[in-house]
Amino acid sequence: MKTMRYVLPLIFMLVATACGSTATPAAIPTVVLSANPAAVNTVSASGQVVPVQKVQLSFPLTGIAKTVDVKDGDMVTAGQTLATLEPSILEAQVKENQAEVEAAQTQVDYLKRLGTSQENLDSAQADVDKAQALLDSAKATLAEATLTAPFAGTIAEVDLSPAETVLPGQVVIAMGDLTKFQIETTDLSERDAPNVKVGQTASVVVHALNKTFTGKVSDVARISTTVGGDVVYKVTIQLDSQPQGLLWGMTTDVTIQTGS
Amino acid sequence: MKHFSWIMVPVLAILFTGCATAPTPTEVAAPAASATPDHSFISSNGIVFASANVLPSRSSQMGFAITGPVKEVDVTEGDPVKAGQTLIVLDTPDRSLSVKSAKAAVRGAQDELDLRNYPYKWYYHSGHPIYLKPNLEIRQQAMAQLDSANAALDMAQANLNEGTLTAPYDGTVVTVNVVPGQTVQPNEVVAVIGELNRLQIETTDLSEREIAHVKTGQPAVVHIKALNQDFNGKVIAIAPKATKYNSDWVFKVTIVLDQQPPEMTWGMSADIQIQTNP
Repeated sequence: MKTMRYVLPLIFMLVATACGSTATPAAIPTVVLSANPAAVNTVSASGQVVPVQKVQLSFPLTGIAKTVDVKDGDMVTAGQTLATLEPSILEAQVKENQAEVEAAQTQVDYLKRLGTSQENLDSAQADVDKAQALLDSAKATLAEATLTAPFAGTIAEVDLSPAETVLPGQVVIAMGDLTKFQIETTDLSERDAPNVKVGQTASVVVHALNKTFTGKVSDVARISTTVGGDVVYKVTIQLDSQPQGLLWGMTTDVTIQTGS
Repeated sequence: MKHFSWIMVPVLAILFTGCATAPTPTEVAAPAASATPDHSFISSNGIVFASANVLPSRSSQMGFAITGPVKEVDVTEGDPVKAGQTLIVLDTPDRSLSVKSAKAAVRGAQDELDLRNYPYKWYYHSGHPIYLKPNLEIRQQAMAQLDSANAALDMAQANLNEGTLTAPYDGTVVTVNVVPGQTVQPNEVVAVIGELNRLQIETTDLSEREIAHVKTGQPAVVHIKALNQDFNGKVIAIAPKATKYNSDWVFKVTIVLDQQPPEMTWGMSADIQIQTNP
């Protein structure tokens, strides 16, 4: 019984060794820092593919969504309507202010025809100006009930459906210009950040495409962010060319050449 | 002792068999259509496997912009509704009265304008009657007041309409969260509507490793777990932006079935296979 307890592991080991020798094990890569002088002058980090131009859109008003005119993946032009809030109250406000402008203007015309003191006329004119200002304000508020694309691009996320309530600042649509991508690092440590300078060359491995691209550092964040307790700086890499197949959010490994 | 020697035989047999097949352990990993992989993957022949959910092509978490007590709930869960159909009405007597008084104000302003437009007689010294209208400004003033009253009526009507929830599009009422008498707050979801006749399949865990292979139009097989049945469909959309799912970055891929099975409902989970071009 007791001997068996020792024999059993031995047999297993033998079998396992036998297996291992036939399966041609892959060599575990060993990293010897001092033997590779290039490694000393590089900074590595993870990164993500993001559009150069991107925006998260929200309404500056509280309201009920009336129309949502786009869906994920739609191409839009600058100024195109993306979504609207129920405008009837705001439209009525514009009409009301319009009527007030008319009334005030009539008073001015009347006084002019009658001929009155300059003070009376100035006062009536001031009423017109005030009514006009209120009208302009009401028109501006009405315009805020329509969300338009600030630039040409592709709708990436729509988080709104008709009849849903929205709050000011609540992100309802995200969009970006998906013809131009760049890489933003997510975990470049504060220890490495001082060595990274704008203009340094970088290589970018895009995991999803299993390809390596070259680029240059175009920006180093001036303020840090924290990721899981680490202080990190966002470094932006501009790609030398725009490869096919990049998608917003793909992960990358970035290696920046910091020294010569 | 004897007991052990019996056990050793099958143990060794298994181990040696393991050796023989060790270089090609594909049989173990080969997924059946109904297998539930814990993340998406692509097979050597270009089939992408992922998990998915059944969702309506469009749904709305509806709410009111105002606070008030519910007066009537005109629908129950499961009701098919048409765009514009009244679903829930709040009790807003003040807003109803405002509309009434605004209507009266419009009538008053209209009468005033009619009066101002009415020509009155002016007897000239020769005795011939001459008809005159009031000053232009007086009439313009009355017109502006009528415009103003009409705008105020629009406003009152729009305010009243805030207390009525209507269906934004043709669909099915999926949930109703309020009963008459209950007070609702702005931003509270009072009912959910969805286009249940247009259900689609949306992947939850299709990662960036597979997304490069997936294109719209590719055929897909969808296994609906609850029905234990496979359905044919095709990819109609790929999310342009990745979202975080557990520790992975995933892209939502949308599939529509060639024919929607009547038993399929919102929220069912599915395993999907997309035939990509390797």
